Amino acid sequence: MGVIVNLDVMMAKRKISLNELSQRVDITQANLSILKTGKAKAIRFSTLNALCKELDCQPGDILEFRED
Amino acid sequence: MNGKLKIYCACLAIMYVIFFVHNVYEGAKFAIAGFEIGYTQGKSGNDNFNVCVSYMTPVDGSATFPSTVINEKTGEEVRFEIRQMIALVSKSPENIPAYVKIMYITASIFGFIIFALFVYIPFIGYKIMKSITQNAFYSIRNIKKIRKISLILLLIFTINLLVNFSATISVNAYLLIKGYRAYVNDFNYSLFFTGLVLLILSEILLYTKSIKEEQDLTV
Repeated sequence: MGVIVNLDVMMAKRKISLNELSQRVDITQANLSILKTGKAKAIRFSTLNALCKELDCQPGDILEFRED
Repeated sequence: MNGKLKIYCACLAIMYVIFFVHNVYEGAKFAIAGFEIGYTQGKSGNDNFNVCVSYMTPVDGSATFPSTVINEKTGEEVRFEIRQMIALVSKSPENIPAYVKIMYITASIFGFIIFALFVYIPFIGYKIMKSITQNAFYSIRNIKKIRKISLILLLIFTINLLVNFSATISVNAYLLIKGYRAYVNDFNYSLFFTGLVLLILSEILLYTKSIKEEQDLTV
C-alpha cells in the first residue's frame, strides 16, 4: 500500500466540502481531487501546511503509511 | 504556437522542399539521360551495355594529373584529373557473375524505397507540428513519431550504404581502368548524425515526459 492519503476522512470529520476547502487553501478542485483520490505522486510542504492549518490537524492525520 | 518555433518550422519546411525538389530535378535529369542512352543503344541493336557512374581514385596516390588542358583565362597548360566519371560501356565482359546483376537491380529498387521514405517523413513532421499547436507535445505518440523519423533516417543511411556498395561492385565488374580504382562513395554523414541525434532526442523526451507527469501529479 505505502503512503495513503486520508484527506477524505479529515474532511468528513471537519464536515467540509471539497469546494469549500479548495477555496480556503487556494488549490484548484481538480488538484485537491487528485490528492483526495490518492492519485497524487507528491505533495508540496506549502500544500500540506495550508491543509493542516485549515483542517486543524497534523500531517500524520492526512498521510499514513501502511505495510503491504 | 511559440514564435521561435514557428520560424524554425518554416525554415525546416522551406529547406526540405528545396532539398526534395532539387533531388527530384537532378534525379529526373539523370533518369531522362539514362532513358535516352538506353533508347539509342536499343535502337542500334546493342542491348548489352551499361552506364557506370563512379568516382575514380588513382591507385598510386591521391592525385596523378595524367592529362593536360589549356586554361582559357591565362593560356597556361594545366594538368588535370577528373575524379567523377560516367562511362558508357557498350561491351560487357562475358564473365559477370549473376550476383552483380542482382545487386544492380536491387540497388535500383532501393532507390524507389528511399524516395518513398523521403516523401513519408514530412507527413510525420506535419503531425508533430500540429500537435505542438494544440499544446500536446509531450505525448507518447509524438515521441514514437520522432523515433520513427530517426529510424527512417538511419534506414535510408543504411540503404544508401548498401546501394553504393552494390554500385561499386557493379562498376568494378564492368570497368577496369589502369592505375585507377572506381568507387561509389556517398557516405551520408548528415543522415546518420541527424538520425542518431533524433533518436537521442526521443529518449530525452521520454524522460522529460515522465518528469512532467510527476510534476502534473504534484499537488
